[in-house]
This record gives sequence, structure tokens and C-alpha cells, in this order.
Amino acid sequence: MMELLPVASLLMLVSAGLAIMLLDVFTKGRAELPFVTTIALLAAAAISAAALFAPAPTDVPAFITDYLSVDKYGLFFDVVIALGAALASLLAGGYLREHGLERGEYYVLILFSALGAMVMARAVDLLTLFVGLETLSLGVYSLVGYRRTSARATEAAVKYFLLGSFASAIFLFGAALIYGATGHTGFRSIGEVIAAGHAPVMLVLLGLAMLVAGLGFKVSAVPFHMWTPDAYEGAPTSTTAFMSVVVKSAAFAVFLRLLAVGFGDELSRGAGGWPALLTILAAVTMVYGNLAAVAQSSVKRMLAYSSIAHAGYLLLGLAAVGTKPAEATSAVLYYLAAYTVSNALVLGALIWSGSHGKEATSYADLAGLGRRHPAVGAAFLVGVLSLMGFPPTAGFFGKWYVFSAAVQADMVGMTILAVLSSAVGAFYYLKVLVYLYMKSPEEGAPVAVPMKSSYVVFALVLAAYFVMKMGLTPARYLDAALAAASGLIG
Amino acid sequence: MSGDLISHESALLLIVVLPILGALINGLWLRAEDKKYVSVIAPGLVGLAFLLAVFNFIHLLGLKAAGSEDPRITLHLYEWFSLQLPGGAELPVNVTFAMDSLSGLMTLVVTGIGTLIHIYSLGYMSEEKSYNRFFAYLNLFTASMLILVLASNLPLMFVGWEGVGLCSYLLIGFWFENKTYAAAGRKAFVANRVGDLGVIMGMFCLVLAAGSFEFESINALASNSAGSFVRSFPIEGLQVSLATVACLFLFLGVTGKSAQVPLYIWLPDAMAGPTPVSALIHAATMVTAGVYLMCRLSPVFLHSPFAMGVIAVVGTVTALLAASIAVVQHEMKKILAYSTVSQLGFMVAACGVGAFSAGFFHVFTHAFFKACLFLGAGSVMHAVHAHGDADIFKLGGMKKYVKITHWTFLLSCLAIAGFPGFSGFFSKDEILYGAAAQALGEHGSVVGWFVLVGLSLAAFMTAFYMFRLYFLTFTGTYRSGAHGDDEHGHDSHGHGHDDHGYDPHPHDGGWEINLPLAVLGAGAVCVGWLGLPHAFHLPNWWGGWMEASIAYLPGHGPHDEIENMMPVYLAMGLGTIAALGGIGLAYVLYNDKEEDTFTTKIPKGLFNLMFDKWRVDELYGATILRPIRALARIVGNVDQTFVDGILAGLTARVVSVSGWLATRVQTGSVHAYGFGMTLGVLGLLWWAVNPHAELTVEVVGEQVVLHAAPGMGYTYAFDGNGNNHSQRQFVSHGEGDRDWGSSPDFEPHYFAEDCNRFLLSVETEHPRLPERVDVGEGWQVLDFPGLDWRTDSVAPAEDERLGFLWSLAGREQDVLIRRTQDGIDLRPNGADVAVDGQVVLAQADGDADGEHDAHAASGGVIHLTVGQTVTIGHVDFVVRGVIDATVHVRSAFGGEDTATVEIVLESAPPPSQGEPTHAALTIREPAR
Repeated sequence: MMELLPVASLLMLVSAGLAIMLLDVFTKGRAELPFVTTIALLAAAAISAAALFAPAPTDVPAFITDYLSVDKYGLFFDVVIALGAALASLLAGGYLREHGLERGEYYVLILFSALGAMVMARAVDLLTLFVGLETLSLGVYSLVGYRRTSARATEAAVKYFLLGSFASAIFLFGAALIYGATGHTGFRSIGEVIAAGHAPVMLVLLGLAMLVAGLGFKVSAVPFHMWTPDAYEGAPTSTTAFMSVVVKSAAFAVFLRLLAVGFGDELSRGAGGWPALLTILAAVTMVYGNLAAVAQSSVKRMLAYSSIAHAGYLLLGLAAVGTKPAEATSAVLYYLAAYTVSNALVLGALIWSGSHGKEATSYADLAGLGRRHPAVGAAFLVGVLSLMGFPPTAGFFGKWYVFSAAVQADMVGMTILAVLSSAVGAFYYLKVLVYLYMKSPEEGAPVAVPMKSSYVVFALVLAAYFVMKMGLTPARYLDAALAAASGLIG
Repeated sequence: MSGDLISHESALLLIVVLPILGALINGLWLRAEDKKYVSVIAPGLVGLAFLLAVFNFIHLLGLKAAGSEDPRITLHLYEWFSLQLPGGAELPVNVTFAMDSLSGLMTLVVTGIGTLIHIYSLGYMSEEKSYNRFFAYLNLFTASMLILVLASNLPLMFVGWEGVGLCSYLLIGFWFENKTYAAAGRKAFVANRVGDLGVIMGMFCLVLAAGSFEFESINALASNSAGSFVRSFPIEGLQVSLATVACLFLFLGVTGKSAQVPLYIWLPDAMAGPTPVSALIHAATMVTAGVYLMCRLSPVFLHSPFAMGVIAVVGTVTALLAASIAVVQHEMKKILAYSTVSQLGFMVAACGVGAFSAGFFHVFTHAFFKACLFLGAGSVMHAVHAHGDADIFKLGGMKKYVKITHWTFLLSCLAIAGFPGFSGFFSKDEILYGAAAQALGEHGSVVGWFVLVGLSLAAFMTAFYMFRLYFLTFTGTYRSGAHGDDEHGHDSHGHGHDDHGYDPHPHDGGWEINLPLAVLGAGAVCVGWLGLPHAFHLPNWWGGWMEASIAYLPGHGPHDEIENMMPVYLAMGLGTIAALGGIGLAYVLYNDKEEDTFTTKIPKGLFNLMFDKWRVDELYGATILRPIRALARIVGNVDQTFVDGILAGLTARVVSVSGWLATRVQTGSVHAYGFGMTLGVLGLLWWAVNPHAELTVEVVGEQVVLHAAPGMGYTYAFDGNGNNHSQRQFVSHGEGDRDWGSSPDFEPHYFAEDCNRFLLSVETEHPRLPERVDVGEGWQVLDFPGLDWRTDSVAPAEDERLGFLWSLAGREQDVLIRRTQDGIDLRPNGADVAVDGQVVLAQADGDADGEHDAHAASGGVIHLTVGQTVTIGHVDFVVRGVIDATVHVRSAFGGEDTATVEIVLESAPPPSQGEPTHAALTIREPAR
């Protein structure tokens, strides 16, 4: 049994998921499932956080390490994913109950999807990656379409599913090409074969392009992003929170690992490597995301486009990994952690702003809310400023580290573009604050009444704590990210 | 002390954190309806902080008793950030709190008096709508003040300094529905901002001198080695010491926060805030922050006699000016406000004459009696339902109605007037002694005399106006009493309309109001006994306690024997006479009187001037505000039309339109989405199939190295001189006899024939000359766009002598150039030309081209080769050779791409028979 210890966090989620299914049945739906789920997720986060600061385990059997890594990089993402999922399930605890949607399977799906996300982040083999990817994706499709009676939610789920299958197929095709070229599915072996020059170049290049397309879909890089606004908007807001933090972190985790380990050396430098390719994707993604977000009237949809813009910044960080592995990897990890807590905070505040029958989604719904309910306003304020990258919040240092890694990797022009497009971002983020504090509801318009839920409040306090903590003492978290990065790049 | 519940360090942290917690709970969590909880949490947390402060202070006392010279409790939380100094040194900014003898006492005052005023506010603000907001601000103020006091370094102190300023602004404008009140808040904020600039500048001067932000190290350096402080300010031509500049900047901050001339004007207006705020912030604690800062950095201030002189004079002038205004005012809080300004003048003047300890002693005693006076005034106003302020001529006889208030008010008046035996007497005496010691010292100074006389006079006026206030308010009969009610037919709960007088039936406040008054009144009497004059060998606890944290002038330490008793007697005599005289005069003029028989005797003009506060506000309005307002209007218009309208408006429009366009592809149809993805995949594949060439140049010693960007499956063909003569032979990475290392590279050897082109590099620096002139095949005029020497020469401006000189050289002729096989031909056409420093006359037959014979007659051709310098007029050019190095890249799929980079050679390469040279000068971006 002891040899399973390095994957204890994964087992924790599996057993919790199974236990909750039984619990739900035997208590006839009366158990406090959000509470149990959160405890399980936080326990998983705690296990991995403890392992993150402990010496690396030795003698891990090959049947684990061949498929799942036990390095600090994976542990770091265990923590981020489990924390993100815990925040999402806390928010669900408030949201679903308030809107009369609470059913046990939601939490089971969250747990299994989080499991898939962790498997992805730890995957060192294309097959494990695909299994994790599908475990995550199938769970999330159901979470998006969870509100079965809503045509909008169903439509969003179907769209997401169809396009997701398309992306999976492209990914799988890419994986097949790589396997055909190298005869391996393990990232490291693939890298070794390519470095030795034994792989047919054409297959490798085409395979790489298809893998990038498949993972580009998951991180919602333009032009593979189109599902994002519809799915984010149609899904229950707690699912939106889950998707924007957990799915994004897992996809970026495996994206970075696959490129750095499997396609290093010649392919990670120069004009013909993936960094140059990702730079183009990053430029298109951040500009498109920011511009499209400006035109939105729904806060939820704006956050969807803003998540595309953030994917653009992250892709820029990923592109810098080729020349500055340590700086860029740690910057990306920090950014993902910061984005997880900040975005959960803003979506949580949005959930908090609505109550039964009156869900707040548009800017107009938020008019004057900050003055009527200072606590809701404060949650929005902190979260939005962090997404905007305003010091001293987590988001500021996230941007700072990613942009400075890009500058160190000689991508000055791209960094200027990133800074300019995030200035456009300030426009729609500040609009939230303008509505909260400077506008009053229109005559006769429904007035948003925040729900009363200690789950939501706890989630917001937790998220806000990390947003401020990561902004006030960023060095501590960057050190953890650096340690995690060193696990990947040696 | 193992028996303690918590460590002293944790207690220190809690002292700061508890009020912050209170502010958060009251401000964000609780609502105005939750009065019950607010009433417990707000005073409770501050009270708890007070208990912890006492707990820590006892520990400090214990340390002192155990023989520690500098008792302190330090808590280092974390490093906030660190600055990189020029030279590479790191300057950490820590979040560290330190409680020593000085900050310990101040903490006691802030939390102790803070608690009392919180309790008082429970009663005073009980009918307020925004009850929770008020207490949240008050808590936040307490927290900020504690950060200010307990910070161990300047930046953290500045956080508190700004925090109290913010809270002061919020609380003055607490009733912001009233425009005047809101304006008063703004005025305070602006005046303080001016001062804050000084603090920042002073802070950086201190870093310059001491290389540290920490008070402890700055002070240690200032006490031990004066060198770095007295050296002159690092700006050439300024003969001022660094200490003077730093102190004057810091003092600017003090004049803002501690309401000194010329920035004192905000404090009287600040009385618009609720009375407990006036008591806590604008009398007892915040306004003394400036004095606290000067005491904190006293060793630095002692290094600048000039700054000390300025401080002493400004303090004295403030004390006098404010006292003279207070003498004629009508409203309770206004009188108390000017009295506060005046007393702050005393404290500042004390620091100016080097009696820092005395100044801080006055801070301490003043906190008690002034808080008591304000709360007393508030109690009277509460009793008669006066809102905002109360006119003393409509009061009178209040001693019947508010008994505890009356007694505590009387005691505090005696204290502030400096009646012997009361607290104010001792602290004021110390200050006067400091001034007298300077006046009668070895180098008897004018400043010392000025301060001594000025402060004595101010003390006399203080005693007078305070008792004028006392007699008119508490003695005689109530002038808004029942008879007024009959006349005006008012109902008994008319809420104090000023023109009709106040509530005719005053009522005493509850225990919440009387308890703090009683405690503060007792303090007003007793706290002075902590610092009995040590000249008479009385026990002076204060001096001994402050010894560790406040610097003294040599010979004036708490243990130094005073040899010359003259200043002692002089100070005490003047102080006593001033107090008794002032009280006596007020008794004669105002006891049991209804009318103001005194002020009518002042000449009308002078009275108006004094009543209008010497019209300082109007003076500032005319001299500073009006021009600024005019400027602001202009800037505002520019901003609205140009910046907002055109720049921002246009940008915003462009962004919105492109955002709208971006959403057009988001049709909602899965087909469209799938199509988009397919395009994306195709794009990626296209990108993977096509090669991407990039070429960079590196100079290693004498050798030029060309690097091509590597790519998977690429083969490369280098063409070192871009003449396409080399075989297009594609070689892959690591193929053949070459080992390319990490990237494919090529080391070309250049001979003279390899230069593809030539250019003239401009060596003379002039803002309007370009760096280089590219030379083409045919003859071209050597011309600089934007710099026409023919017209520039007509009226040569000072900075455009170049054109003038050119015209001398060119004699209004065109200089022609063209490129040849091995260099550049130049046709001067009569201009003065020198090659490598030697004047050269063009040979008439130098032109090889027959078609230019006509030109040849007017001036021949000079042939220049690479490396030669040519001077035309006063401009130097150097001829350089240019080589376009190229790489062709072919991908595994067969596509090809080319990249070129331009290499400019510094020296002439040899002809093909000699040894090749490789020195490169500049490298330009590849031209794709």
C-alpha cells in the first residue's frame, strides 16, 4: 500500500466521490454534500501541499512513474486544482441550493472532474493524458448541462460536447502521428527519440501542430475558443467557476509539461519551434479576448472573454519557456494560482449578488450594489482589481512575473502588446466597479438582493485571503512555484 | 515570563490588529441597524488593545527597572519589499513594529484616550443614522494611528501617517450631506497632502544620509557619527547640510499634520466633524503626530541648528497667532480648535529649542485636558441639542445642568491655563525653561528670547480665553432658557436653531458621557506630576523614562545638574504670572456676565481682523487658490476637449468597434465554430510545413559568426556576402565536417571585394543629422531631410550653427556622391573638403564618367575608400563597407525561406590576396 502514497491525493478524490454517491443515496439527499466535498478536496490539497515541502519520494514503482509523475510540478497543480475545485463546490453549495438545483451528482461530478484534472497535470504519457482529459471533459460537459430544464444550458452543453469531441479527435490524431514517428507515448521517450534524430521530421511537426490545436481548445486559445462564451454563460455559475479555474489550470499544466519534456531541444528554440507558434497564438488570443470582452453586457460573458485574454497572457508565458525555462515556468504556475483564486472570487461575488429567481448576470444587475451591500462590493473590488493586475493583489504579481519572463526571453514587442491589451482589459473590469458604486438601478428594474449562504461567504473569504496574501507576500508563493518548476525542468 | 497568557510580541501585533478587525467588522459586516453589536465591538476591541498596551508597558517598565538602557519590544513580521539602491545595495522595507519608551507612552495615550472617546461616542452618536460607519472610521483611525506610532521605520510610519489623514478626512466630512462639512474635509486633506510631500522628500534625504529606513539605525548613526548628516546636500552649488534639508522637509510634513503656520488653516474647519472626532483626532492624537515624528528623529534634528531655529520661530508664531484668534471667537469648538493650534505651537516651539522631551510631555498632558475640554463641550452641546457648534453667548449657567461636565471642564481649564500644580503647568514650565535656557545660555540667542517672550504671551492669552469660555458657558444664567421659549413660542424639543437659541431645558448626558469626562478630568490634574521640575531635585520620572528614545542638548539631560538657576526661576515666574494674570482678567471681565464687555473695547478694525482669523484664508484664496483655479480651468478644458474628447474618445470608440467586430464571428452556430477550428488547425499545419528563417550575427573577437535559427528538419545554405555566387548547397544540422553546436552557424571570411555596398557614417553629433547616409549607384546630392543648409544659413540660430558652417563650406553648391565598385565618389563642387584631416582639392580630371564632363569642369571627383574620414564643412563622415549576409532555409517538406542581415564593416578588408579581416561594426535587423 505504501507505494501508492505519492498518488494519495488522487485516491482521496476517487474514494470521496464513491463515498458521496453512497452518502447521497442513504441519507436521501439530506447530507451536507458541499461540506463533505470541500473537506475531501481541501484534504487532498493539504496532502499535496505537505508533500510539496517534503523531500521527493524515492523508490516509487515504475507502474506509477511511467504514467503519472510524482514530481513537485504535479503536486503544485494538485494543490491549485483541489483548491479551485473546493472553491467551486463551496460556491455550488450556495448557488444550487438558492436556485433549487441541488442534487447529489453535482458534487460527485466535481470530484471526478477534479480527479481527471489532476491526472492530466501529472500525466507523463500521451495515453494517461488522454484518459485524464476525457475524465475531466465528460464530467464538465454534464456540469455545463446540469440545469436540464434550461434550453440555454442544454444548448451550451451540446455545443461544448460536439466541439470538444472534435478537439479530442484532433488531439488523438496528433498523438497517433507522434507515436508513429517515435514509437513511444511517454513524453520523455518521445523527446529522446526526437533529439537523437531518429524520428521522421514531417510526422513530428504535423503531430505537434495537432497536439497544440487539441490543447489550444482546452485552454480556449483563439481560434479554438468559440465554445467558451456560450458554455460559460449557459452553465450554472458555479460550473463556470469550476471550468475557468480547474479546466484551465489542468490544460495549461499538461500543455507546458508536454512541450517542455516531449518537444525540447531543437523544437523549443528558434523560428521554427513551438515558442514561435505559441507567440502567434498568444498575440491573437489576448487581443481578441480583450476586445471582445469590451463589447459584452453580461458580466458572465465578459468573464468568459476575459478568461480567453488571460489564456493569451499564459500562452505568452508558455512561449517564454523555450528560452527561459525556470523563470517562465514558475511565472506560469504563479499566474495560474493567482488566476484561480481571483476568478473564483469574482464569480463567487457574482453568485452572491443574486438570490432565488433573481440571478445577477449583467452589469445592470449590479447597479448600486456596492453601496447597498458593502461586503459584496468589497469581494468584487478585490477580485476585479486582481484580474486587472492592480497591486497589491495576486493578479498584479502574476502579470509581473509572466511579462518579465517574456522580456527576459527577448519577446519585448510581444510584452508591449500584452501590456497594451491588458490596458484594454482595465476598461471592462473597471466597468464592473462603475456599476457597483456609481450607478443606481433603473426605475422599475429588478433590484439584486444578495443571497444568504455561509458556503459562499466562506469561499469568498478563502479566495480573498489568497488574493491578498499572494499580493502582499508574493515571494513565498513564487518560491513554491520555482520549486515546482525545478521538478519539471531539473 | 512563562506565566503570561501571550507573549509580548503577540500582544504588540494584537494591539494593531484588533482595531483593524473592528473597522472591518463594523464597516463591512455589520449594518447601521446592528447598533447593539457595534456598541460592543468598537469600544471593546480598542479597550482590549488598551489592556494589551498596558500589559506591554508594564513589561517595558520592568525592563527599565532591571537596568535596560533602551527597553523595547520588537516584532518583525516580514519584509514588505526591498529597494535596489544605486550601487547594488538592497534596502529592505520591513513590516516591523517596535514599542519603546516613546512609542509605548504614545500607544497608551492612543488606546487609552481612544477607548474613553469610543465609550463617549456611544452616548453622543446614539441617534446617528450611520452608526456603524462612524465606528468603523473611528476604529480605522485608531489602527492607523497605532501603525504610525509603532512602526519601526519610515515607510511603515508613512502608511499610518496617510491612514490617519484619510480617516481624518472621512470623519470631518462624516456628515457629507452638508456641503460646508464636506469642503472642510477636503481642505484638511489638501493641506495634509502638501505636508505629506515633505515627509516623502525628508524620508529619501534620510535614506541618502543613513542608508536605512529604520528609526533605530538612523538615530544611532545620527548620535554616533554626525558625518553623513552634516555633509552638504549633493546638489552642486547648494551649501546646505543634508540634515537641514531633511529636517526642513520633515518639518513641512509637521506643519501639515500638526497644524502649524502656514498650513494650520484646516484644523479650525475640521471641527465640522462630530465632537468625539474633534477630541480624539484633532486634539489628542493625530495632530500630535508631527511632534511625535520630530521627537522620534530628535538626534537628526539636533544636527541642524538652522532648521531648529525655523521650527522654534514657526511654533511660536503659531502659538501667538492662534491664541489671538481664540480670544475673540464666539463658538465653543472654534475656541478649542484655535487653542489646540496654539498649544501645538507650544509643542513645536519646544522641539525647536531642543526641549524635545518637554514638547512630548506637553503632548501627553494636552491629550488629557484637551480631550476632556472637547468632550465637555460636546456634553454641553448634547445637553442643549446644539448641532455642529455652540455659541457661548447663547449659553451660560450650565453648571446647574451638567454638573460633572462643569467640574471636569473647570479642572481642564486650570490645566491648560497652566495653573500651578495642574498638569499643564508642569509641561508648559518645561517648555518655557527650554526657551529660557537657550535665551540665557552661553551664546544667548535672539531666537531663545523670541520664543520665551512669545510663548509667555501666548500662555497669558490661553489662560484668558479659556476662562472667558468657562465663565460665559458655565456661570451666570442660561441665555436660551425658558423665557426665550415664551418669546418665540418654541416647543421644548426645538433642535437648536442658532437664530433662536438652544433647547431651553438642557439635560445631562448618560454614564457613557460622564465616565470618560471624569477619567480625563482626573488625568488633567494628575498626569503632570510625572514630570516635576528636576531643577529642584523633585522626582522627574518623565525625563528618565524618555532618556532612551529622545535626544537632549548637551548639558540638558535628565541627570545633568543645572548650574544656572536663573532660567528656571524666569520660566516658572513667567508661567505663573501668565496663568494667574489671564485667569484673573477673565474673572473680572466675564464672571457672571451676560455681555462681552471686553471685545467691544478692541478697536473695530483690529477686532474684525482677529475675528476673521487675520483673514489668512482669504489671503491664501487670493494668492494661491485663484491662480491655481484659473490654471485648473485651462487644463480642465484642454483635458475635456483634447484628451477626453479626441484621444480617449477616439481610442474608446476604436476599441468598442473592434470589440463589436470581434463578437460578430460568435454567431452561436456550431457549424461556424467548427469551421473556425478547422481554419485554426489548417493554419497550424501550414505553419508547421513552412520553414521560418532567421539570421543573427555575432562578433567573436575578430571573427564574424552568422547564426541561423534552428528548426526541426531544416537544411541551411549560408551565403556570407549575399552575392549569390556561392553554391546553394543545403546542409543540415550536424551534417558534413562542421560541428554546429547548439545552432547552425557559419564563419565567413571577408575580402575587399565582398562589400556589397558602401555608406557614409556620420560622426559629428547633431540632433538633426542622421547616423548614416546610404549611397546609391548614381550621383545623388548629399542632403539631409529637414536640414537645409542653404536656408538655415540665412539666419543661423544659436543651436543651428551647423547650417551656417555648411554654407561656408558649400558656398551654396550641392555636394554630390555615388557608390562605386570599391568605395564612394564625392564631387565637392567647390565645397571645402578634407580627407583624413588634409584639405584636398578635387582633381579636375578625376571623373571617369564622360557624361559628367560638364560637372568636372566646376570641381572634380574625390575617390574615397573604406575607413577614410572625410570632412565637409564641419561635419565628419567615415566611409564604411556593407555586406548583406544571407541564409537560405529549406524545411523537411521542401519549402524554402530566406533571411538577410546587414553587416557594416568598421575597417577596410584586405584585397583577396591578403589575410582576411572580420571586424564588424553594426548589425541591422534582417531585411526579409
